[in-house]
Amino acid sequence: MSADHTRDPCPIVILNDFGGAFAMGAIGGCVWHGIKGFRNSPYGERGYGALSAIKQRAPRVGGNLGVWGGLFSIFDCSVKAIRKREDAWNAVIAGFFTGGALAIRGGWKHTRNSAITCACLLGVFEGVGMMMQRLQAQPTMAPVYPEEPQALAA
Amino acid sequence: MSNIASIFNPPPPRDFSDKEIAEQCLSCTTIQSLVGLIGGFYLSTSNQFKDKTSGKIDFHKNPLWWQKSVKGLGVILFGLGAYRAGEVLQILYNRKFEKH
Repeated sequence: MSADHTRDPCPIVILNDFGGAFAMGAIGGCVWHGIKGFRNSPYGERGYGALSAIKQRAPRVGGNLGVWGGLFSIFDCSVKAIRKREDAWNAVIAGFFTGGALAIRGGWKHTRNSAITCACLLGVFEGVGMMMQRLQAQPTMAPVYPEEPQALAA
Repeated sequence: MSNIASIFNPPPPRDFSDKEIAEQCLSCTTIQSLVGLIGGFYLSTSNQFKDKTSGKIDFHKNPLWWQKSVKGLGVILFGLGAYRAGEVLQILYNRKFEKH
């Protein structure tokens, strides 16, 4: 795999991504299931209902997102190692494999659809990211001066 | 940088330099080897086609060509893992040889 000194080696990046995705999922799951548990509980039991829903479901969301992040990172590193190039296609290919790998138990149609959906989604994210980068890095326009009049021949 | 973060903030496209390619990353190769061996072994068995409760294979959901393709992929992945394991041993041998 790549030995780029500007970033950590791949095993550390994979662990980092797994942990980051788990944390994101767990926090997002706390917010989502907390609100859901709160709303679905009767008056007087809303706090307890929210806490109960968070305890039951937030770790599951975190785990699912963590597995996605870890697998994506593994595939991304592998694709980089094979292509020996860093560009937007790495994420799209890695997303294709991640979506397929996660859905492989659901049969071939499920695997195909999941892989294509995941690749398209990542392609859209990459495209939006690149577009935002271009918008933020607009080149500064040099001022336009009027041309100096040519000296008339004597 | 994180691979997930680089989705939203993609780095400029570039080819890896010859130096980067020539430098061998032991930890990366080891991880790839393990992923290849474990993933290849998992895919080459028919566990992923079996129903969790009944233990039977649904041939409508998982047709024979699909099962064979996945198993073939598993064998290829296992082979890649074994190849990378060989590279790990080679890196270790080279490092030991260079030191002494």
